[in-house]
Amino acid sequence: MDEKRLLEVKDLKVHFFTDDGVVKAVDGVSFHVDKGETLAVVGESGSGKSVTSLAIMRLIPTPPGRIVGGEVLFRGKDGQVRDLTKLSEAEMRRIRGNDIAMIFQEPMTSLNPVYTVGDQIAEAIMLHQGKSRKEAMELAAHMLELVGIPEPKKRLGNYPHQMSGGMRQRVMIAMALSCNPSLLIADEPTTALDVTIQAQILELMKKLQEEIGMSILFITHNLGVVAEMADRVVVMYAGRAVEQADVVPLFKDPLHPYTRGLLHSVPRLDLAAEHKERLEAIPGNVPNPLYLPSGCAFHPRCKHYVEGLCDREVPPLEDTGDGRQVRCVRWREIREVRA
Amino acid sequence: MAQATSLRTNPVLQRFRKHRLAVWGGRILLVLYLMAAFAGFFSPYDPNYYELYPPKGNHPPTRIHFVDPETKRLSRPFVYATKRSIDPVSLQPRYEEDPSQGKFYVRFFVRTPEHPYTVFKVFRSDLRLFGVDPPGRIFLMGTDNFGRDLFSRIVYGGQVSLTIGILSALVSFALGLLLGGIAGYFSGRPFHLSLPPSRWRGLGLVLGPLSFLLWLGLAAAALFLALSFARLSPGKDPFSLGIDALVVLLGALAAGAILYRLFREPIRLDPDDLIMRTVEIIAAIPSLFLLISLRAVFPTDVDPLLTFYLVVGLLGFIGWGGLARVVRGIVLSVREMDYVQAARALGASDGRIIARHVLPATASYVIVSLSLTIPGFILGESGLSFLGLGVTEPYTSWGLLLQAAQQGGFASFTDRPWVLWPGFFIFLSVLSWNFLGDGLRDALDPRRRT
Repeated sequence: MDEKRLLEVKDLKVHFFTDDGVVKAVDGVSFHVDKGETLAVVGESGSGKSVTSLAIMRLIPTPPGRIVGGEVLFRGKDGQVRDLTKLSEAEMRRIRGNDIAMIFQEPMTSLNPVYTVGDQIAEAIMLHQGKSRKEAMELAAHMLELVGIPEPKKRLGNYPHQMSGGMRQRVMIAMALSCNPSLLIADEPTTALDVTIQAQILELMKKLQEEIGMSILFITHNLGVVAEMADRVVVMYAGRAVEQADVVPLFKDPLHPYTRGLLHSVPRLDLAAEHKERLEAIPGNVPNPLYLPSGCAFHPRCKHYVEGLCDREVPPLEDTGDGRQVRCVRWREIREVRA
Repeated sequence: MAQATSLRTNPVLQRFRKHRLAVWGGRILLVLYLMAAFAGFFSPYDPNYYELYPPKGNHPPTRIHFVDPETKRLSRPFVYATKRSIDPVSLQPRYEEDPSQGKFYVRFFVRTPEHPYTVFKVFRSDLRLFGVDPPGRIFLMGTDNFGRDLFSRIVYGGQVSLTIGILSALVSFALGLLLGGIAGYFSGRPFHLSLPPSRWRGLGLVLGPLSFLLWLGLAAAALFLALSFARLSPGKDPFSLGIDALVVLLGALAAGAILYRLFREPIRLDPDDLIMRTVEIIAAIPSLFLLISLRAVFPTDVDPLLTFYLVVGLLGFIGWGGLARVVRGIVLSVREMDYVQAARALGASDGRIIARHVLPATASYVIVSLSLTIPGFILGESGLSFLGLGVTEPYTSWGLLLQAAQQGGFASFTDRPWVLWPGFFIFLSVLSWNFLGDGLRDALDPRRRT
């Protein structure tokens, strides 16, 4: 693996074996995260982005889910590259929290209501660093200070219900970063927060990333957040990556019809003033994962659908030549039409 | 900003205090348990002490006098010695006060060097709370047919009855928490009960053949049962011959099915199913019937102390089902909580998650349930002892005392009503535990407040 690579996901497949059939939640996803970089994974609900992140952490509920194929190569703090899908549960536990940490969508429920905030941060520290409780508590106070919570020493003794949602998400971040992970997986960390707090949290994450030098895998459906945070973007649809590009080119010149649809459905103040039109939406719904459409899974909702071409075979993920990838047989024509 | 939760301001404690009956229940229990713990101090006599001469069998409670008959003025409490005679009609002993022997003043903190006792089997002492000088006797609640002081026996019986309640509850809670926790936490994660030989690798190299032994044994048992049926009822006519053939065929089919399944694919079982079905089976059998039949499995003439532990074990064994079921439910919901997922993402193991996140979530339920289950076990012990299946002499318990009380037939209740005192103590302790449990539930679960 390339020296600057931190994480490389190769052809990852996660299937859920339910009573109704096999749900291919993630079906051959590949991407990589470099050291110090932020990769955003974007997609609608049910596109498989959360499952991808859980699969990296090996937290897929088994049964019914299982990683059925692919590799997750990860460079640990010791510089050794391991395939996370092949590690034993005990080895994996050493990686979790220590090398890869995760923050979740719901700060309100991600903290145990019966323990103080300090207890919960110290727990993570004691688990991985073998420190005494006193040392762990000191470090916990330091972490709270780092994430911008005033009077950290006093706050250590607080219970989660004594804090606001934004504060709790800060605590979650403090907890996740307490062991200096090299990769932080953030699964929609701002979705449950209101807009001003969202901005603060994102700002905080960017600041901490610079200080600690970790990489972030950012799972979101919010394109505004992507523009704010990401260096590169992977767009997912129905369990597959459909486009991969650096953030600026992606926003300027989206190649896949789905990416274009997503970008058009974001309300924009500048355009709204000019056109006074209704917001564009992608017609239809995310397909039922049990019965995916043949060929390109997006074809029933696509403006550029051509019968006999799009619904035959799953299009391959093509390199476009300028460091981008797209999964659409007609991407050249679509790009020309627009140009 | 940190909440000050001293005893004075603790909201749980405040809510509990408002529940008057619960507070009184707690106080009564405190007294009862102190009496049981320091039984020697509170009882005036050794529970197994009796005099051959003069006999004191079936002595009614001793009357305590507060007024001096000569001066007609209040005096220190005293008792008279009694004289025994036999009623010529009923042939029952009668006791009459005999002032000629003088007054025996009730003295407090007396020493009885001839009857020492031990506290917790360690500290020797002979200090008793109250007593009278011999040959006077003070029987607060009368005596039994041997002339043993019933009050002393009740105090000592409390040791057994009250601790059996708590111990059985602990046993059943240990079982219920463990099994309910396993059922809930590992629900949906079936484990292998057998492995086909193609997958005997690693640990399977040991467990695989072991499981095979078990299943092959089952298959052999099915065949054996069918064959012995045919052997024990040899068919004479074509009809019963046919039945025999059918049974043998069924046995062979069952054995074949087990073998087929064994070699084709692993037999897997969800621990949740296994444990919950067991709970349902136990719950379907009437508990007293189950208790008696389980007790019947063990010999009745074993060491009394062993019987005590046996009763604890039996009561605990039949009582864990309900708790396991509720704990399973709580665990099922807690394990899906985000904070459990978050803990796992931080690298916590299953054991750590269970100990730190899952079990504490059941704590308030468990505390309440514990205090509401203990009275059931006290009653259960009384029932068993009453039937003669519980603790045996020389140990005593309230149930055993009641059993002794009814040995004289129905007349014993009318002639000697004081023998029903143990029943009052059962009633008092059960009621107190129930009130205490009620109060705890209201205090710990704010949703139930009215």
